[in-house]
Amino acid sequence: MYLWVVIAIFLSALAALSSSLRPDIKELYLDRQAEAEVTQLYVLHRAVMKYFTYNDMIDGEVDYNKLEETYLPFGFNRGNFSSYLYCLDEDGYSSVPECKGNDFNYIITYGPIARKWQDNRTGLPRAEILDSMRDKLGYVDGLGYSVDRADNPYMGENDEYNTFNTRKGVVSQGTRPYYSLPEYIIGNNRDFGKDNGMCSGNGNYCLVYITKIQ
Amino acid sequence: MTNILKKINETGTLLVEALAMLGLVSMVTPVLYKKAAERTTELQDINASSQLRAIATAMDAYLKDNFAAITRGDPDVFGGDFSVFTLTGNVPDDENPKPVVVDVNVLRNYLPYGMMIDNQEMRETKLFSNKFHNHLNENYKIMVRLKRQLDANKEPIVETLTGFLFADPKHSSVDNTRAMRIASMVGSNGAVADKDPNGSGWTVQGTQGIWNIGHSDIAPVEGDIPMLQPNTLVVSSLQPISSQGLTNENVLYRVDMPDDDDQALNAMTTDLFLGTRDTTTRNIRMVNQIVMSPDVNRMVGSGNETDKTHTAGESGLANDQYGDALDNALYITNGGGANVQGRLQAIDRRFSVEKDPTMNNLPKMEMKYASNTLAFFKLGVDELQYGNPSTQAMIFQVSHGGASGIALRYKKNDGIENLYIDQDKLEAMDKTLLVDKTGNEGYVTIGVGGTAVQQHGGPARLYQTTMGNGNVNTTIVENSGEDYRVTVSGSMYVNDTIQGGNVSAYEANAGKFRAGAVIGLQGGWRIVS
Repeated sequence: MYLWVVIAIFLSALAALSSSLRPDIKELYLDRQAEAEVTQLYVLHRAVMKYFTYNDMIDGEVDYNKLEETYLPFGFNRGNFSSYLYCLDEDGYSSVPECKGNDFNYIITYGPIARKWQDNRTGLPRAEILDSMRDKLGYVDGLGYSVDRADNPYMGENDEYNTFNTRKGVVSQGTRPYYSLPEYIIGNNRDFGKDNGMCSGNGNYCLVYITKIQ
Repeated sequence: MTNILKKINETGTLLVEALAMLGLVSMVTPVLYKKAAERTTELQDINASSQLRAIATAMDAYLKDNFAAITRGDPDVFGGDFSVFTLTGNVPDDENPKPVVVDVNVLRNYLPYGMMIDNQEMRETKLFSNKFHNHLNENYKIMVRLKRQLDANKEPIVETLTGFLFADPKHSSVDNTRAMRIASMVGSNGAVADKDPNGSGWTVQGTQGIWNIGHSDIAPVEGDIPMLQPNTLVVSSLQPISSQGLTNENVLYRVDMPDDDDQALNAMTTDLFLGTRDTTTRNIRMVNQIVMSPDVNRMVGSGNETDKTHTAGESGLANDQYGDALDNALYITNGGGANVQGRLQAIDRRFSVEKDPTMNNLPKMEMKYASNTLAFFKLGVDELQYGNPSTQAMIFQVSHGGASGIALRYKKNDGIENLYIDQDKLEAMDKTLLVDKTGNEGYVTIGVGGTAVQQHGGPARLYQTTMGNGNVNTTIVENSGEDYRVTVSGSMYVNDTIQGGNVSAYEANAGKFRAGAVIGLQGGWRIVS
């Protein structure tokens, strides 16, 4: 009998001492690791936006070496994220050589969600990632993760900002809860294609940051 | 017997339990001690990461504030020698110049209060010493990297600064695992230095894998970071400090942004100060045009801006108070003056030159057109001058009057006064006065209120004067004290009628005194010889 009491006391002491004195240890440790994941996407995308401001328009993937020369922080490693530039017509269905009038430039940066930050059951990003997007970057439109609109019918069809109603979109962490991806990008970027693309949905989700520039 | 055996068994059981308990206690106690110690360590690590984040934030603020001076290679930026950043025309070096290492002291005005002692010495903490080999603050170093994109003329298009804070912990207690944990709690910009596995130099690896710098990047300045060791903590800038925009929308654009709304991008929503109380004021040059649309309620010292002393020192006045004149759109103080090459015009005709009534020790206000010190035109409080009164060049002056009684004076270039009018008299200084009346109506009257013009001590004399014009009568009022009311020195011709008691001719020449008729002659004609 005495033995069990002593064991219980030691186990409870062990459990108590294993927890942190700081109640905010999650924010201090785990959330900052999630911030790093989001920062990687965010810094790369902002560098492309700056690159776009000072250089001629290109159509397709941005040369990472050019970004690295000037626009990215020294020593930055983009990991598995990539950036693309497009100039599309008003409806987002066709690429146009030069943006005029109602044409729009699109900058899209995306990459797979690290396994560590995926929900084990659904593959969607964990709450720490989404919290970092909102709390640290401040509710940025077009920043979130890609989904099939069919899987999110409510967001896809009832969002007043959903101007395209295309097959895929971004569950945005900004003021727009859903941000449609232009059809041209879906059709011409194999990562968003149906053939088990990196961001094809159904368990394959990507962190995405898309910006529309006139 | 049975009871005895039972008692012996119970005793044996207690002994076994006691031994087991002692064994368990001996095994678990070290674990508990270790866990208890880890809790303390964890708190130290959290504090260390917070400390590094604070210094890194100060580093980014320092780089932002001194961006222009750093990128142009100013060697005097807070003691940091950035001269290697100067553009030399050597494109490879200019685009990616050698890094610069500066002391943490440069952040003294950027660090949170209390982090430095007397703005000189970093405060020693549990994990970070403030000395390295007895050299103060040498346990911290800041490496600054510059990258440029140059145009065809080798002028910078974009310049980017990235700062790296190196902080060496007390290695007796910080192993690699602990250093990685601290760096991880710093955030995505935290890192740990280690020996380059492929060589003898150093590499820095970001804890979350989003950045790293290799041996070749550190090697040029390795000697400037003497405390660098394995597990030295490194924190980079959160984002590159850029010369232009998109990373910081709150900074005004320095270049024209095509297709962008300049007003939205470059509108300032705060007052603009070119200098502070502690620094030299600065200029605005090459301004093409200034268009002012003042709102009287937003002017300093009026309406909503009633505090006239909150920017004390700006006015340049002794009492640091703005005068009432600050309620005007343009306010130049401290003897600044203004030169206008071109037209100065009051478009609503309310142009005025005024003296601040609170500044009694200042001379009278005046508007002056002058060459060197000689005024050729001066409009003062009580006089208007054209020409310099102290020289013979003064030719026209209208003054308030006062003791001198001067109201209007006209003087020729030779210094002789030609016209002199005061409150009592009109005087032609060369004795020639012409009163001319145009038109045929009314009278030309010399005199005031029916009183004739008088010359001192003598008769009123009209030389070579023709009086009368058509039907207009000319009246010459009697000059008292004289024998004759009208004296004609030359000949006189009267076209119509002469009436009088006595008509005299000084030179008796009856042949020249002719009359058609004499009316009302009572005293008779007299020839005076």
